[in-house]
Amino acid sequence: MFKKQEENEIQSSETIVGTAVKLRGTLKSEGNVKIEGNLTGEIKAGGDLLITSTAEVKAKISAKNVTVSGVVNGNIEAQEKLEITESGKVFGDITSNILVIKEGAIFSGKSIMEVKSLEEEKEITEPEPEYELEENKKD
Amino acid sequence: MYYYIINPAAGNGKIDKIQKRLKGIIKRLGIEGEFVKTTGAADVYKLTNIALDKARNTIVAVGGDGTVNEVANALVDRKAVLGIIPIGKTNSVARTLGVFSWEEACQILAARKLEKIDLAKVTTIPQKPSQKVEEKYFLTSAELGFESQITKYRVEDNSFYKLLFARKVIKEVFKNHTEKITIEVNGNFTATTVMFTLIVSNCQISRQSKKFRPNPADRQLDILLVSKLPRWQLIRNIMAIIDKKYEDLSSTSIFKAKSVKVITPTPQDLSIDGEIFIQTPVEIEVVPQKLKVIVGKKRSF
Repeated sequence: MFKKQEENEIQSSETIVGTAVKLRGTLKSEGNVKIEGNLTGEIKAGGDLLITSTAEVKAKISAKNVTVSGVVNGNIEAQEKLEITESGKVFGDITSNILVIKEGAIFSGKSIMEVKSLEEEKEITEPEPEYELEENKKD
Repeated sequence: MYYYIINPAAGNGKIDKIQKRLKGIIKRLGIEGEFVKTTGAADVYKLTNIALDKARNTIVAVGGDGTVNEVANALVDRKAVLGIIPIGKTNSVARTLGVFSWEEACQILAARKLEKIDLAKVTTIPQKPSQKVEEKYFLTSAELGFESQITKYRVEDNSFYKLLFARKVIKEVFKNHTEKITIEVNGNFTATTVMFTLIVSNCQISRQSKKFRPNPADRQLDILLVSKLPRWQLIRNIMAIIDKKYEDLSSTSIFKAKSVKVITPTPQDLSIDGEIFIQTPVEIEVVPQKLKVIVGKKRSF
């Protein structure tokens, strides 16, 4: 099931670091990225990032959605969702709006969830009705 | 005025079979011009320059990818436009530009829809002061490792030649085509592996490929780096290798780049369109919007 999901994500990846590749430096991509090999440095992805079970990553990471099935040493910043799957290991601080840690995953670090304050949410969900202001003016 | 440069060897002498009909269609569509035949690869460059000296504004390469690349090299920084009539064994440039047959190509030449596209430039990195810097532009792809050995035998149709090619692949695939390689991408990172093959491409490389589809107008090169495969995986993936469809293999890496340095411990042959051009180390960079071409409606970008 999970393998199928991984395969679907692979299909849309713009950048792929294969299993037998050692990458050093800063990997930047506007699209989706899949890491299957060894990476040391930094990852900046405009799209989603998938770190597969064969991957070993020592890097500062930022991406839209991040899925970790391999080993990550370093801080992760996901703009939306961060998921650590059953085989995933993360040693570092993580920042995300949505966090999913599956049974069997390892996470050692600090987690910051960027949740909107209640007042901010109220402003978004309950805007002041404009017609009432119009009625007040008439009075 | 059109200037047609015909490669008589392209597509195993296909021009001999279609020449009469081709000239008839060209006349009917009102795109007549001068027809010249090459006697070798170096001729294409010379003939293109003769055409430019005669102020011809449309140079039509009648051949395969090799002929198109030679004409493209001569048209760099010139005002003339490139047209293609694809009759080669591999016609990946034509296909990318939306030209799928020689008959359709004539209609496309007459419609004359123009686009500016990128070229790739490969430059040697001298290892001794006595070595000269060599450079060449290309539209299609530069290849190293297994593909550089096999690419000259490639054919795209389903003819008898494809069967011969498949036999050649099976024979070559088990030879030791592996070599340690480091590529430096955009000066940002290095990727190191034991390579099976490397392809740096500006145009679509395979008709079968759905995911690896380089775009010649995106100001970027597409890099496909295939690491060494165990023998059982080579056997399992033999059809993908025959079709140049490497992107599904687990040992494949894919990157986009504006420039890439290719470094190997010992010099390795780099081929462009089946011709061994130079040896590593080299730098390959994209040169955006360098060439004006006539394109079809079904182009891939």
